[in-house]
Amino acid sequence: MSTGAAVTVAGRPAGGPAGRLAGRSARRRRRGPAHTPWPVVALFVSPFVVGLLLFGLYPIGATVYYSFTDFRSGSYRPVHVVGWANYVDLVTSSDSFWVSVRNTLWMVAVLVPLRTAFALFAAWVLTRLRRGAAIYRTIFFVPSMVPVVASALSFIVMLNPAGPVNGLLGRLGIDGPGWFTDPTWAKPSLVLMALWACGDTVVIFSAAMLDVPRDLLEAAQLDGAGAGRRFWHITLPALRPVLLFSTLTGVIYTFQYFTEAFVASGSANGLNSGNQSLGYPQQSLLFYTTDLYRQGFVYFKTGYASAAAVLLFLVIFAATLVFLRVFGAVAPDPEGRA
Amino acid sequence: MRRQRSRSLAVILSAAALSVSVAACTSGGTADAPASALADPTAHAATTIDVWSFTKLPNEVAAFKASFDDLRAQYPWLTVNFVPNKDDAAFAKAVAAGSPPDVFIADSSDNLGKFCFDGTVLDVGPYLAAAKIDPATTFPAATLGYTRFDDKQCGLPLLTDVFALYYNKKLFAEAGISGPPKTLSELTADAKKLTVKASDGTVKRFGFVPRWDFNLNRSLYGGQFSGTRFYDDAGRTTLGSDPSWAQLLAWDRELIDYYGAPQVQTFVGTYNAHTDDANNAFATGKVAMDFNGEWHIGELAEQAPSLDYGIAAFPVLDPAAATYGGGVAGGTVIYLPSRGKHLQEAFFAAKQLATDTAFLHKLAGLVSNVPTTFDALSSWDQRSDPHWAAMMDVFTKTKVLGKPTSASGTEGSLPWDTLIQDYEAGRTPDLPAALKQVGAKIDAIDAQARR
Repeated sequence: MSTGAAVTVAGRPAGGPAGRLAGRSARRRRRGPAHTPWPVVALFVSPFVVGLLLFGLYPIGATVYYSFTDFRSGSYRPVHVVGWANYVDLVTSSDSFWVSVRNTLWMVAVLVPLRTAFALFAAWVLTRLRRGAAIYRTIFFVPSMVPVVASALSFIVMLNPAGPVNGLLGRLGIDGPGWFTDPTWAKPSLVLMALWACGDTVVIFSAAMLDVPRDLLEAAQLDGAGAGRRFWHITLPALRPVLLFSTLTGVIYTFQYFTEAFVASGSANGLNSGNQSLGYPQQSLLFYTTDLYRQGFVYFKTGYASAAAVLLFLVIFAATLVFLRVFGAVAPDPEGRA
Repeated sequence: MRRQRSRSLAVILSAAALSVSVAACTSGGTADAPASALADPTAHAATTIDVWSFTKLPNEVAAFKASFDDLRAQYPWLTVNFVPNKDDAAFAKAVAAGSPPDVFIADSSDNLGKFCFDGTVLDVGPYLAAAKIDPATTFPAATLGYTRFDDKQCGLPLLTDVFALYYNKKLFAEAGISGPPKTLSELTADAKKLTVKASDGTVKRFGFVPRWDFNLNRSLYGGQFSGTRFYDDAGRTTLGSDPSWAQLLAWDRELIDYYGAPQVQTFVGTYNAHTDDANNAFATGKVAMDFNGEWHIGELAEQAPSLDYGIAAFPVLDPAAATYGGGVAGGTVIYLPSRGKHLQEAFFAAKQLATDTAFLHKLAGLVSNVPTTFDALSSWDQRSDPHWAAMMDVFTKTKVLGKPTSASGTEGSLPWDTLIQDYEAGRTPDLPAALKQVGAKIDAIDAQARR
């Protein structure tokens, strides 16, 4: 962020003559737009402000409000304010809530580390390739461009118990599992799909690895460090910000995991529609957001679903803060304050 | 200055909160619906109505549009704006937004009880009376069972699905079985005779697969085939009080254990994805008996024209043998939103759809469904086909309707569905206790929905 010696990270002018000079200069620069008539400013800003109010603040405010009511979408019955009842019901009287929480935490605990580790490994291999790296990078990246629904449907076909993957396993003498149709294997099947589509993360890691100072790596090599030690002691620390970003966004995404599970549940169950099959088989694919969707758009319990949404936001927010605190990623204050 | 700003903020927040609450509350209240039919449908002010439908298949959409074109030719004042591919959620959202369509055609009656109780849809009973249509003599009892709630006619039936037992006659003859089973114990015995196992225990052919999540089997567990009512006269579930539920699940489990759970898992996983295509288990001889709907007749005619099969009513629990003959029926429902802008005109169009014999025949033929009026049934040319004749026989004898629609919609089904799957997977050691617990849970869900 620093643009000069006299300007801090926060963008405030520092003390001293140079700083004051820089501050005056900045103020002079800022004075420019003030001469623009405010209706013009308002006109240019209005699309954003209107959009923010209509599609950002209003839905958020309405969701919070509804979470304290018994509002049911499509109902003409009077709406009552029920206080914390929806929140209490969520955690005390809903079986599916805890099933969905367990499944979601399983994905966060398994999918995020595996995907990050796999992407890291793939990126490391790609940066070591002497020939054809661009081709392999493309091969890794292309799956991440496939729409989620299309890739889910492809995996359902490939992982059908009588499908090509089990056919291949059968030739090797392995009795393939039921994949998406078997409650034991349904979540691991989704993990496999996520690994296949991790090209975006691979590209980010590859780019970060190319930024690792070469002189450090060469110095370590001269000191006799092997590939593993160089990776562990030089590459990995250098990747820390990227790793942190990738893991954090992965955690947030997995807390909101929906589309893949929705498609897999619905399509693995033949005739029945996606709504009827949410969580199939045997609720093994019932994640927090799928249960939220069911409460809101299948059972039409808008107030209850709103409470679930608010709770999810709070959990993700708290998890993010804890994550940043634990991994020490809060940007250090230049003045040394915590 | 700060105080003034905070006061302004408070005003804005109050206004926002008020507008939100008003937005929520304006979707409440009851409709003052005129309980009369159009006085003279031949002379009326020009009107355009919006008709939403779950239909999305091109041939079905075309059939609906053609029907509305016919209607317009007959009644030029009526223009129908037909919007396909709308589900219950889209309908509920439109109602909440204050702009419902005039007519909504839903793919099932899953939410009829909820919509009816919440005042979302109109009780068309008075309209039918004004139009001199007696539901009892117009629509078969099975269809009235899923279009009524709390003594209100909250929807009109528009074609239905009927479910029955499909059995492979050739395999039956090879196994020395003379006819379709009538009780579940006969079904189990026949299924075992028809099962072919390899020397390593692998099942090459199943007699009948009862697992809840295979194809349409979930309809086996609503009480129709155990002679059980899902709710007693007081509106409480009978799961904890009627022993036939445990007997039904014991029958399910016995067959699964006979094949072996892993074998059944592989079968379900493999063939659930092929229930409607040429690789389906019944057409390919991987299963000798199948619980399926009437549309499967059309599919088999295309996919396996040489298959020699029969259709019969699905067997019932032995103590309920006297109830044998019926099946499961459930179908498309026409709703009239209670705050529609053109209630009389909407009812007029809905009535045409639900009772017009020519339209019902045309649509039923297109989608291989069963027409839903006595007139349409009696004059339907499919009656000459032995498969359709058997299916219609089952339909007209269907009396026990399984889990009726409730104010909780589909939510109340979830605990029961979960228990069945848990029991099949061997995760329910104390079934009677679990049945009581699940019954109480469904009662609580229903009670909460009626609050």
